[in-house]
Amino acid sequence: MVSDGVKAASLPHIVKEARRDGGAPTASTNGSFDSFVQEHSTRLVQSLSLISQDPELAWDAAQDAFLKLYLRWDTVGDLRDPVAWLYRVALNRCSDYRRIIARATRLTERLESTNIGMWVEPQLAHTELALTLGALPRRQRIAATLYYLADLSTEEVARVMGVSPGTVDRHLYRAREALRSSMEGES
Amino acid sequence: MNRPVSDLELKDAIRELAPRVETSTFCEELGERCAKKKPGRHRGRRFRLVAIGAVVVVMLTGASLGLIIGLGYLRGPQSVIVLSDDVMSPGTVSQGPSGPYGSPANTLSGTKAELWTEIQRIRQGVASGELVFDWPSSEAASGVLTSDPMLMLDSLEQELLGPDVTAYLRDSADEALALRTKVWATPGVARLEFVNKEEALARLKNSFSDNPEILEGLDDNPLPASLEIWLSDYTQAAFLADELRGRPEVEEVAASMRDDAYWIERLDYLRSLTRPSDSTNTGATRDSAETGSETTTTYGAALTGDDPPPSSTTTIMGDVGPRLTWGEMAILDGRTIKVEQPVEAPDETGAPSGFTVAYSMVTITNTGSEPLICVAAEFSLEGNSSGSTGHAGPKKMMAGHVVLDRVTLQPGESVTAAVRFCVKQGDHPVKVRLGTQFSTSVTLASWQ
Repeated sequence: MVSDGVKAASLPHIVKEARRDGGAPTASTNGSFDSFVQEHSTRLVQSLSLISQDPELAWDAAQDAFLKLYLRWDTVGDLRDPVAWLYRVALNRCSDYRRIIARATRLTERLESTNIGMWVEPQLAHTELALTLGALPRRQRIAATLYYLADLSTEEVARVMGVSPGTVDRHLYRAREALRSSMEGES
Repeated sequence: MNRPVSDLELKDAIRELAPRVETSTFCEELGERCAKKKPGRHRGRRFRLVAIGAVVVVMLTGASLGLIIGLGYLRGPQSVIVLSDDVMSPGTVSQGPSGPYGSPANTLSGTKAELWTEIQRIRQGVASGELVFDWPSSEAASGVLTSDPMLMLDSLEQELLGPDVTAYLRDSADEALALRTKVWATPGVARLEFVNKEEALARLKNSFSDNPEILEGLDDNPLPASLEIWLSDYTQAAFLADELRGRPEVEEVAASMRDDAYWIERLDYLRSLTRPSDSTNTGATRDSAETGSETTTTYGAALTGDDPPPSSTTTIMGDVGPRLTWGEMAILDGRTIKVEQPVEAPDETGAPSGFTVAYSMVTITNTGSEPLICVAAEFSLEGNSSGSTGHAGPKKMMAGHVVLDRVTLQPGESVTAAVRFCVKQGDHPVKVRLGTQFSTSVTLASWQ
């Protein structure tokens, strides 16, 4: 059920519409926003899905994060680490959704009703490992997911989480112990 | 015996868990959303320059204000706390402007209160030039949201001030006056705020001001009214949440999932964030001489050469609070504080995995000549976890221990508080730090 290697589609809408608008966002002028989205969208949605345990919420949060990045794409050079920025904004947006929209049941329903279709498998796997990952304390789950799935370095994970690399190492150590023991139990 | 799982295998296994994502659909939707953004909404370079200009003005104003406050602080009376084996004559204590009591954060307790104090200490220290941020250049230049340490402090403050429990109400509950009265009467509730539907919608719009199209087409207000509740002991949020879930007026309850470990981690991070300024050496000094099991420590020093006026002394707490080994005794501002050996309660639930609940009795005696008022007392263990106190008396009972609310000690009187800790088996911490709220608990009037 992995989407590893899924080739992202191009972003014809973004480029076309941006040009029609007068090319305000430079996504159209340097084209790299397209490739940035293609390169990171899958992993971002997957990571947020595992972290939030809610693929649909992950989808919305990832959309918002990319949109924010799009609006400031002309100054993306100011960001030393746009990937860390993206993940942090997306994680914050996940929290926003959890705190506000997820509590407003009817609004959530309204948002869902505007969905075009199902783009993320609504159910996460129910293997022993998945259950262990889902039961990890949130910070351990974030650290492990970003490190193993999103391929971020310890330093990048630290920047996303706003903690020191040493703290990330501690979270990773604990998460790794739990996940390994779950896998060993399965085998 | 099973073969150990390698890191690579673990990585592959986690990737197997990831759901399949239709990236082309994702891109299409993103493209449509981007196209809806009008050029005027885009933050062009001119907008950016104006915004930066505005931020600079605000920062300069803030810095000036901070400087004025800092100078005012330095000119004001400063503290001297001496801990010794001799009973001291008490000084006078005034409440700091930014402490957990007497500020908007007056409902904070435990590690959250400690964190709040630390944030204010950093703000004050940076404004007065005593502290500088020890902020790695790579962090500062990284561009992640924490690139400005002051913004991070703002964000942390907001997080600290959030409610511990939020109960979302059914529309039929209207203003839920009966429930509000009942919640307010619940032991441990320190603050209660009713947020009506209109206010909830205004907050939502504010939260999504960057992406207002999300809320476009919203004909009526779908958000529920809510009760936001702050507790005197935030670790009890889950208990109150469970109670509220049974109420007919309540549709859903959200309890803060921030455990103590989360706040302790933030506190550790903050403490590594600053260092004393190289150019100043006016901060509190600390001389400590340990002889055997007894410790005599002098905490703090006058920040200016002027003698403080006899009626006003500010106690500096936080990091410079006394540290006592189990069974040790110290004197703080005319109070004798004794910490007894902890007693484990292994059958008690509520401790994280690998930890055991333990209680230690702490006796506070007023050995001064004036009455003392203890508003609250918080204790934290070095490196592990923290607990809050209760004292034996007809006070508010919450989850097996009593929260110390307010107690006046006449000269010679004592109060015994039961401190609940979570300790790691076989790894008992040997030090306990007594601190923050003791400093703010003495009323100025008592010392006249």
